[in-house]
Amino acid sequence: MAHAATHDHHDDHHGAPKNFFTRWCMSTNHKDIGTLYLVFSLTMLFIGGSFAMVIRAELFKPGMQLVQPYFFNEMTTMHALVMIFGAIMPAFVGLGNWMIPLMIGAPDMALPRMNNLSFWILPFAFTLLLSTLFLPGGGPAGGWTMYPPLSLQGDSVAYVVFAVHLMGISSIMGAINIIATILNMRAPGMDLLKMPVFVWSWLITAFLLIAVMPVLAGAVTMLLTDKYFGTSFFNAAGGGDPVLFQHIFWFFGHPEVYIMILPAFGIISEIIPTFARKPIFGYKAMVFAIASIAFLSFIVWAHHMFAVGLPLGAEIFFMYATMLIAVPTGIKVFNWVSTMWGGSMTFETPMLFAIAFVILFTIGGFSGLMLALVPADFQYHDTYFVVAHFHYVLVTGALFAIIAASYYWLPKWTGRMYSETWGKIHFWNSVIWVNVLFFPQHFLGLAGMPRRIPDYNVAFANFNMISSIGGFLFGASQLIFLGVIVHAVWFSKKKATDRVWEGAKGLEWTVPSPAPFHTFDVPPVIHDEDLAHGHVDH
Amino acid sequence: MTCGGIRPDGFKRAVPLKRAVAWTTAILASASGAAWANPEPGQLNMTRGVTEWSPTPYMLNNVVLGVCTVIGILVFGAMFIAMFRFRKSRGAVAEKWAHNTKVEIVWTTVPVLILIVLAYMGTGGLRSFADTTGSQMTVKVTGYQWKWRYDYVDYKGKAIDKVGFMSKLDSRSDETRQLNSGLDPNAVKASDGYNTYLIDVDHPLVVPVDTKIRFVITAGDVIHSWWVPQLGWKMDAIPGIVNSAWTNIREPGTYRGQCAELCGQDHGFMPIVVKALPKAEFEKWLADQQAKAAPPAPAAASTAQAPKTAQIAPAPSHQG
Amino acid sequence: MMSQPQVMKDPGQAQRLRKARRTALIVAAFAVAFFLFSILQMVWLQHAGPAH
Ligand code: HEM
Ligand SMILES: [Cu+2]
Ligand SMILES: [Cu+2]
Repeated sequence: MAHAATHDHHDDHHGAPKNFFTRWCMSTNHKDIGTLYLVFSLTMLFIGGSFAMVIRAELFKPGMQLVQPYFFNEMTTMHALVMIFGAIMPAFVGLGNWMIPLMIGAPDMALPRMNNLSFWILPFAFTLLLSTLFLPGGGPAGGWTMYPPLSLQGDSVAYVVFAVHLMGISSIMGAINIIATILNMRAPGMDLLKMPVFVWSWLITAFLLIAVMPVLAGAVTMLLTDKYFGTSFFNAAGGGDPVLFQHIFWFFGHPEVYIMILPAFGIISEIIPTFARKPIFGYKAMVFAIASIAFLSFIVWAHHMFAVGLPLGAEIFFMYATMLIAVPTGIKVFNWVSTMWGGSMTFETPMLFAIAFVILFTIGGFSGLMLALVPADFQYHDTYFVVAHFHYVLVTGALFAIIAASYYWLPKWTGRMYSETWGKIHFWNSVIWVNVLFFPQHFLGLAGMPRRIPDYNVAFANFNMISSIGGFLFGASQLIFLGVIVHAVWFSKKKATDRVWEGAKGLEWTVPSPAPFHTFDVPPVIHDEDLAHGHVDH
Repeated sequence: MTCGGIRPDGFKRAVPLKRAVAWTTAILASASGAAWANPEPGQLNMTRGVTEWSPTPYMLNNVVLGVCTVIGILVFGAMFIAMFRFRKSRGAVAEKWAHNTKVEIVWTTVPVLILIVLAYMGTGGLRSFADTTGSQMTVKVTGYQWKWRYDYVDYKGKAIDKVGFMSKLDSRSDETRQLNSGLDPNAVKASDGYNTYLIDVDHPLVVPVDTKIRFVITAGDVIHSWWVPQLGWKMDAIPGIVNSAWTNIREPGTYRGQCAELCGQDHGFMPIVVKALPKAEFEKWLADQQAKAAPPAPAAASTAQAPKTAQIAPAPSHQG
Repeated sequence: MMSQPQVMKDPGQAQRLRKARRTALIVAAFAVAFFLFSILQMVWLQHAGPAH
């Protein structure tokens, strides 16, 4: 491979291996590994989505029509695990893999072989997890939160724990790689405060991962020893405490939800300036807001436990700390709106998803603020109101950002334009049906419908039916997404330019489309005016 | 009597704020209706509830919903104006600025002030909730897979012996909810025509109104959560831990709730029904129960039904 | 068998890569420490009695 080629050479015969197995299974190339992550994530999105369809079908009307209650619980548990660890997190890692080296002018990730391992652990982890559905004892049915003693009643504990360990190791290695890359591999002149916000958001997210994934691993390890090795960490009869599990779990769990949203903040902060043709408003404030949200996310975990009987002082502390998060979150939203203000906007598909993100994520933030108020949470907790909250932040938040990013960078990845018409059709279907799906769930929760139940009183019938219809159509709309991607990768005739979008700034747009197999063999010379905000005074 | 009053004044102080958003909350509140039956078809908002405490979460919910609605209208309004005015197709030319210290200070401090008000209101309510002293009655609630056990511990300072029973899903609902039972959930109704599918039990918890009742809540197997929306709170029932909470019901009536913590396959099928009687009627009911329990032959199926686990006292409490 | 990582043609990049490996080791050490700490803390709590 001592082939000296300039990075913007269009032939890549010296690049990607021809052999399929060598190219994909043995890859050490950040772009190919990024692609693997993204394909894996899309696959998991559809698997997890099919579980959701089972859930919404059973909840279509009162009475049990399709599945047994135990299977229903397996579906809710698996849906969450697959979506969180299989769809959302790997999608962000895939985007990071593809874009971070391109954005900071690095030739690849710092540890390319470990990168391969991080990815290839995942298919095994999920095979293990999903296989439990076909085993005699059934899959996990105690909820993704895995609270003991319930979770220990299942026969699949060892499988789930091992799968979670694998996912955790994969995420930790991914995070190590990202930190090592961002801190060390930047091209000369790419100062930390000139990095794109997406890179910043990933740097901070990676630190969160390093801090909390090991804690999750510790928690599930203790579940395993409680089940099979006679310890009583969480077993009251043996002197343990089931509530302690919840403390450790949510010490992981709350930062985890921010792991799933901070990179989304980064993505939106890339897309809005591009299509508003105006630099991001308050770059430093944006970075600082992400950092403070990350910090605060470590001291709010017990807001998931307001009903376990915490001492008064703890309830008050966690209420105040949780409410504080609204401040940096608000700053981000105001800054996005201000970026649009005075811009020169066009509304291509990535921008449409980004705008929908800002509005709908904010609605999820509002319900988050409501949930933070302890007396009100005594009512909201464990109802459909919470379900509505976290789907607004995760589906119209994290997932919409991932979809926006896919449309935004797809031309750079494939060298071809996707179909703008079909992109817009996908957008409008998604944005309408997702609201039909989740908005009525606020009402259901307020009226008293608990979450994680397979059947309900007829008073909840009308909104459940509306929600299910929205669910089926939202699910179907994602097939359009699949179609748009397949078309753009293999069939589109429309070549993408290097810059792709008129207002796009940043190093990733200075390399050809599609990005060649190897980029930045030689570090680029940084011109501040190429960067999204390199020349802007903040 | 002192019942750890809920400080309704905390909300009086919030009245101007509340009025500003009254139109939203009024619509939503009226949709939930004054009816005490809960849930109602098409219900849009939280119930006001029927206890001394229950207006606290309800009012807090309405106020914070109103605040969020106003902020939402401002922010999204600004965004839509921007999307209309600053489109390239209308010839908008992008400006260069990316910073404005003055507005940034404003949109940092104003939210802080709003949050301080909300935090103050949230805290005021909490203190009274945490105070379970001065109760006139104690009921022990124990969650099992998948039923509740109620033991009457004391009433008006006198210990009550042997009044306790299991409470589980009524048989009509239970038959109807079987997979493809062919039975119609709409047909499961109480005598007054209210649909009770999955929210009715064989033996409801019977309590008096206008009495501060302390609940001690625990579980025998896995974690459950005892929740009746009209009482305004839920509290986890955790094996090995005894939690406590209180209520003081103002209106006689039947109040329905459900287990609110995933507890296994029949988690959706372990409802809670609280029947609040006028004091005199309650005392008569209690006397009947005690009479039934007195003879050596154990009364009815109630105690006999207790599963083995019910006999094992939960491990000692370490929780307030 | 594994396809070779990209060859660094720039001495500066090779140098940055060496530093990156050291960063990675430090961060990995933290991850291991957090894992052990989460379990040891629970073991300790069990001996000291529950926190509340
Ligand atoms: C303004 C910011 C936010 C606040 C104040 C907030 C507050 C809360 C609170 C208090 C709960 C617990 C509700 C309950 O169980 O009673 C909750 C649940 C949840 N939140 Fe948020 N949240 C915020 C943003 C987010 C974000 C950004 C995400 C993820 C992207 C998220 C994901 C979740 C999830 C997944 C749950 C439910 C976990 C479960 O019980 O399974 N939240 N949130
Ligand atoms: Cu949280
Ligand atoms: Cu339950």
